[in-house]
Amino acid sequence: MPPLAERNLFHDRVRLAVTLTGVVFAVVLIVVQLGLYVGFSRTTTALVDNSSADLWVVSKNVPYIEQGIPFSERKLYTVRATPGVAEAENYIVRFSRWKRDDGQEESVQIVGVNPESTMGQAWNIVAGRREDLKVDDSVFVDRIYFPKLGVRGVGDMAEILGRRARVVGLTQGIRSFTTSAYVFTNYRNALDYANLRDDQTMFILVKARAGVNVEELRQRLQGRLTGVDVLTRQQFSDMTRHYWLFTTGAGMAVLMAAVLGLLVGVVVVAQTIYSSTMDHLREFGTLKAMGATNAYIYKIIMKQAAIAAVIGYALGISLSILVVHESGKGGANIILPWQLGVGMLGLTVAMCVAAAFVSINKVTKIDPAMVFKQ
Amino acid sequence: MQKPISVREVTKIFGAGPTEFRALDTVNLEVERGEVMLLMGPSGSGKTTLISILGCILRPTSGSVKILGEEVTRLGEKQLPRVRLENIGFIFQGFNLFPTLTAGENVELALDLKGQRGPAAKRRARGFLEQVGLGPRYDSFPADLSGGEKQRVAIARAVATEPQVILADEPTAALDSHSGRTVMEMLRDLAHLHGRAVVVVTHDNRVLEFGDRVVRIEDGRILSGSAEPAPANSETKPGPNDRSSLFGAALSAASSQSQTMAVPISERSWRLMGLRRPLRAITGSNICKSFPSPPCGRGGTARRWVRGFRRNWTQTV
Repeated sequence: MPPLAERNLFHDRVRLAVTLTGVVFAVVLIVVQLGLYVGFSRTTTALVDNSSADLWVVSKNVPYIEQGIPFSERKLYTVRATPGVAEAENYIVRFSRWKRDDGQEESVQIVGVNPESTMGQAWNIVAGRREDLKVDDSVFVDRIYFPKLGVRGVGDMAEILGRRARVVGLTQGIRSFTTSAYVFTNYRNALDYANLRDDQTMFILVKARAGVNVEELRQRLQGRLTGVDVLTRQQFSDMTRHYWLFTTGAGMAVLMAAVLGLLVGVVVVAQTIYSSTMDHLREFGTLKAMGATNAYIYKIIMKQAAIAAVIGYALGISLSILVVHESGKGGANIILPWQLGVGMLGLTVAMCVAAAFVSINKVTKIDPAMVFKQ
Repeated sequence: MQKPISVREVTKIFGAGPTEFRALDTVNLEVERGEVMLLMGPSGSGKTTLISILGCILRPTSGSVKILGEEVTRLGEKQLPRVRLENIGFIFQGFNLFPTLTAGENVELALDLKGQRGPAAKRRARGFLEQVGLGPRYDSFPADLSGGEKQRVAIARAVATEPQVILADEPTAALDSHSGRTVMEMLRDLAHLHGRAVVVVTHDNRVLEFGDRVVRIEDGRILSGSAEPAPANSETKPGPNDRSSLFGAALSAASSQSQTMAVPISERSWRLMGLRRPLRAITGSNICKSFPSPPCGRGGTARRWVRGFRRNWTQTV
């Protein structure tokens, strides 16, 4: 086919620029918003998703991990005695106060677990070893929170609820969804840092034996334990995510912004392609007079839309990668998984093709007799 | 043999009730093969409405329209594009070329509609352009062409799909007299030498000499007794032996309907159109001669080339 679609698109540079601007705007806005959503989603459930536990025992009706309520740690023995349980550990996640060198206090979340357990440990460790947490008063913090915690590196000291805390290791990229940084320590230290009694725990992490059906184990434990809920890791992760993203409205705000970006893209592209179609209406009328079917003409318009989509996507995704990279320096957690990038291409093409339907509707109604009018 | 165009009792009414307007009123008309019919009348007489109906672009309110024996009034909307594509070529007053495509690509577009693509289509398109004297302007955009050149590209595009019917709406209205003559000569050759039925809507008396018959229309009616022969001109209607065709045997070789003699055209044109030279087969001798490509200047220059072409051919044979 002669390059009518391409020529119509590139013929008017100003209109092409407007079209591409609309597509780029939509791509960047959608990618950034969805990237924020993915970032929020992963951050809110990071502790649960990286716990390596099959089941979580939580206090009754706890809606998300930050809302844990202490319960008797004796339930740990009941759990361990249940057939099908390979490993079970007490686990603490609780807010506390971190006092810096300069006396300023910051809110932190204490995360405490037995350092010898295979569950609930820090990940992405870039300095120190997990075994270093066996020592009293030892903590791991994340590099992202150095400025906030007044820490410069391994060996620095601080205070948590009047008790000494020494940084023995560092992680990279473990963000908290709240403003309170995670501070990893052993279970014994955590009881003190979190102001809990020795007979209390916040959660129990459970690993099933190989070959055991997790759901059956969950039901078995639920039947044996009172005053607590037994949830699979996925269930607790979903609950936590749902609370932060939808009950607080944060997720909805992000998704609404993404939808807005999509709408803007559709409107801008529809307007410019429609404008182009109107400018070339006589040509489409001539094509009809020459014997072109409606499908042939639709193909030209769709091709125009698809080319604009691909070029706009290429520019938009490049800009998005830059935005994501730069925003990370500022602390924003925008994640751009490859699936989002690839999916965005499909969405961009769909957006532009949908926008082209306005023009198709117009072309369908062309009166071919217009070719005889001057 | 079926007549290319046959119109019986065609009426076209626009609007209804108080705003009803009868654009055509019981029109009867036939156009023969190899005939140039001039449709003349004042503005608002119904010429454009009639040619729109002949071109299957507009449906009559009542009556019968047959194109090559096919009753098109009974066809559905989705079947009419096929009729236009296979049987009808249009030439417009405003040329209606695609401004973002080159001259060659404009012709290729017509071939593309018929499913002909790739290098072969490009060669054929170039061949058709060469036949209208615009081979060297294959890569030129319409904005770089004169009015006469644009109309010649339009003619090449119209004949590329090998239609049996050519409908020309005021083809010379936007042209100077020299360019207009060139265009009319091409249309006449299409009819006389290649058996096309050519209908020319015009109100330009200068084209009378190129028509075989004049049909006058007024207020939507064919004036009785108006189907008169066109005035005699200095050049008699060429017979089948006349080889002075600007389209040469290119179209005759492609068309099974034609009965023309082969006409020498440049070797290159033959190759570009991918057609075999019929002359060798017919005469057993090599009388195909390379002629220089026609100039692509304005009408006067092209007409001088046409006369030179005819003179050379006569001397050769």
